[in-house]
Amino acid sequence: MKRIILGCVIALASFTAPLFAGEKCVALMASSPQAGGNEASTFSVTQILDIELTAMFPKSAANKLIGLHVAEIRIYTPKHSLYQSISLPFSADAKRKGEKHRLQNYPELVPLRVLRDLSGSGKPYLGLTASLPVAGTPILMNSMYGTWSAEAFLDGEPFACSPSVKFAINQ
Amino acid sequence: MSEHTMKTWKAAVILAVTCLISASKPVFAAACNNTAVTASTTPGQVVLNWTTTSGATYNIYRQVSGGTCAVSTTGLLFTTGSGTSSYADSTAVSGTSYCYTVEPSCNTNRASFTSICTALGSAAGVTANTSTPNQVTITWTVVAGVTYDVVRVSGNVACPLPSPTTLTTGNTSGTYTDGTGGTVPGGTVYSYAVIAKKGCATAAQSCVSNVTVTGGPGLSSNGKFSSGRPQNTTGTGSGSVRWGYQTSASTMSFPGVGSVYVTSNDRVVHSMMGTAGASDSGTWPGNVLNTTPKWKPYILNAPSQNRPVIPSLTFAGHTKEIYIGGQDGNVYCIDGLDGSLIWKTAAPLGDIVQGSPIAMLQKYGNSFNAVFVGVRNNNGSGAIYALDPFTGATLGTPFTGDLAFGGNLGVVLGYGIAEKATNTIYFASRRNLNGGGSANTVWALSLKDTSGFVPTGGVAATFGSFATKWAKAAKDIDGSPALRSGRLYIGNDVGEIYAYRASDGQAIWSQQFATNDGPVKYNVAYDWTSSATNQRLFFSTTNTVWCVTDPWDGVAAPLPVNTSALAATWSTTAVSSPSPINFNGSYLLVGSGDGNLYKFTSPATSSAITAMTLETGSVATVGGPSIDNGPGLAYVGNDAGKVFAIVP
Repeated sequence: MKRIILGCVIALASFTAPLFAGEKCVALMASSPQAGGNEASTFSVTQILDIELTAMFPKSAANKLIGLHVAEIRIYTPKHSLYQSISLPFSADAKRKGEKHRLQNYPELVPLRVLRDLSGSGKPYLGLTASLPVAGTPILMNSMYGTWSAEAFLDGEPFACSPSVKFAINQ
Repeated sequence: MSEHTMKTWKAAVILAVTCLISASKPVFAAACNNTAVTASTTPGQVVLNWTTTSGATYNIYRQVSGGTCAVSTTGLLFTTGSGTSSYADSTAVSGTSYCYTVEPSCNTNRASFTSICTALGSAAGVTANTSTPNQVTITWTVVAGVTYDVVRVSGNVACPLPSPTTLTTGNTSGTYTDGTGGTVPGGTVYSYAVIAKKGCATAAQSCVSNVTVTGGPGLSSNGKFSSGRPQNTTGTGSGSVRWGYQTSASTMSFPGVGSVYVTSNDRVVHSMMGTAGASDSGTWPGNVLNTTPKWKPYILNAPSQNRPVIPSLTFAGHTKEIYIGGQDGNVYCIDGLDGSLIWKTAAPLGDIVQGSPIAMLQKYGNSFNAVFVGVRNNNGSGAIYALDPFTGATLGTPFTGDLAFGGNLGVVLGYGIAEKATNTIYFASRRNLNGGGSANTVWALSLKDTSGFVPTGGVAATFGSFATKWAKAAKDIDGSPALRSGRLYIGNDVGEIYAYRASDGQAIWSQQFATNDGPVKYNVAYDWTSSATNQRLFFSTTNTVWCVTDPWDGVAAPLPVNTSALAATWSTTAVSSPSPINFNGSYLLVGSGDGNLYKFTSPATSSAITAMTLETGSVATVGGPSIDNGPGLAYVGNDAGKVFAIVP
């Protein structure tokens, strides 16, 4: 009986509830693991492999984020066209590591990402990172240089959860 | 006979009978039955049954099974009373595999064993909550150490659900929301099941059927398909746009030709009819005439940015295939007629497959049936794989570098070139300067058969291994090599063109040709209509389209050729942000950053350049164009996700 009650408590605690302002992402950050991994605003396509886009959530919202959520990162070219959209299931609950989830229009299960603590990189936030490959891509092959932007959407909401991040890609 | 003698005789008889009775014990031992133990399980319990022998007791031994099971007398669990034929082990842990031995007291050689995975109880308390419009939340009671899968089928279906779609695996939270954000249309009926798993055990489904989603139509999905209709299917003049097609993200790679196959960053492989003049020209998906192709777009988990390779092999009922690599690290073979998956590599070959696969097929006179592809890893290393074109299985050992040539290979971002006559494959890479990798970036690899020999070109063989023929340091390269008349041309990321003798890698030019205009894009296109001893090379860099004439004197040796005075035959900045180039034998096509496709009518000069408008008012960046000489059409995509067919 105790086990059942405990299970119900866990289930209720991890229920995916709508998020409110202050519980959503507060900013997006661009960085590259091949450029030191720190936040940056300019990247050379010939010097790196990927740009990482990290959605940052307030640590105070961790308890609100232990359920399953889905973030969509949309990346726009300098001509303001949608270059790519990346959807990521995530949770702040480390115990959910290893889960895989079915996302709409993804034919295979997508591994759940656990929000990571960004304190080590000087950011008092929890982070969710999507990777944008740049080496050998059409970005180089078509001189798609200039100011790119990205924004994050949570749980299918029509409005971005934070201001977009802008970053420059050059040769 | 005296009375004493009589008593003595009787005693002797009794003794003899006693001895005879004692001697009958071996008869009892021979009747000791083999236990022939079997096991059954319910959640948390294992029941053993065996063939008993009257009067015998039994020792029950239990061990956690490590994959093998045999008679063992360690781990005594219980000793039964006489004549017992079953035992219920209620201490068995669900999801644990045990090996049991039952040993009779009448003859230890009659012991036998069995193994079993202890059953796991089904998920309890499964409910479906539809109070939030356009989504369904499944909840259940969590048991520590147990993970749960949630599956679904459409409609009101009784348990167990047949062939369900898996929605999540490894869940330990006790809740799953289907249609997070409200994406499931109201009125949809689903049946769900939660499947508990632990160790070796998978429990029976716990179902909740006939769940009707509340709310309205629901939000559109993240990956949106939109479509258009043919624009001008009759125009024949240069610059006539025959049709346009909309994907839902940038599509910049060269389309594949044979219908038209397009990879887009929307993770979909699209196809449309390209045939000029036909009534189904530009229709999609598949056709409206009920003839082939009956295409359905194929969706990947990550984009492919490849130019599709379409070899048209005949096997297993397929006659037309598309080979592409994905940014999920896999290579895919898709049926070119209906868009179904033929195979996918069993596991990712690396972190990303950025460059196109290439096929070397016996059907076309090659020694091998193999698909070669380069991969990139996030740690800066790369590899080159050979795959079975019919199954996707890896052939031989992938090439990851060569200690004799500097060690580990860097990331491979382009495609390879195969040389049929010598069974050699050429690839380019970036340098791998992490942890002592190789600084070489141009690689010639001999292709050996399974006996370790390089077969004579065209002699059928089975691929076995790679061997470095030569490797050269030409700085970082994101593009791909080009091979003509025994010469390998390659451009690097700082805008330099190198020429190597393919047979041994000797530099042909005394110095590389430097553009000082950023990376050389994709590859060097050569003019095969010009003399092999005076051939034109076309390529683009960040802001410029170039033509360089290779001053080869036609003599294979001595080398190198003095190119100290090598200058561009022509160059032009008339095309802003030019795309990679396509040359069809009479003209060049180049995409641009101003929304137009450019045609260089005379490759000998840059004097005749025509801008062709793909869409009025659009300044979208135009990608690499493909030319289909049959119907006389060019196909090209742009960063707005549109694909066009245009009369060049």
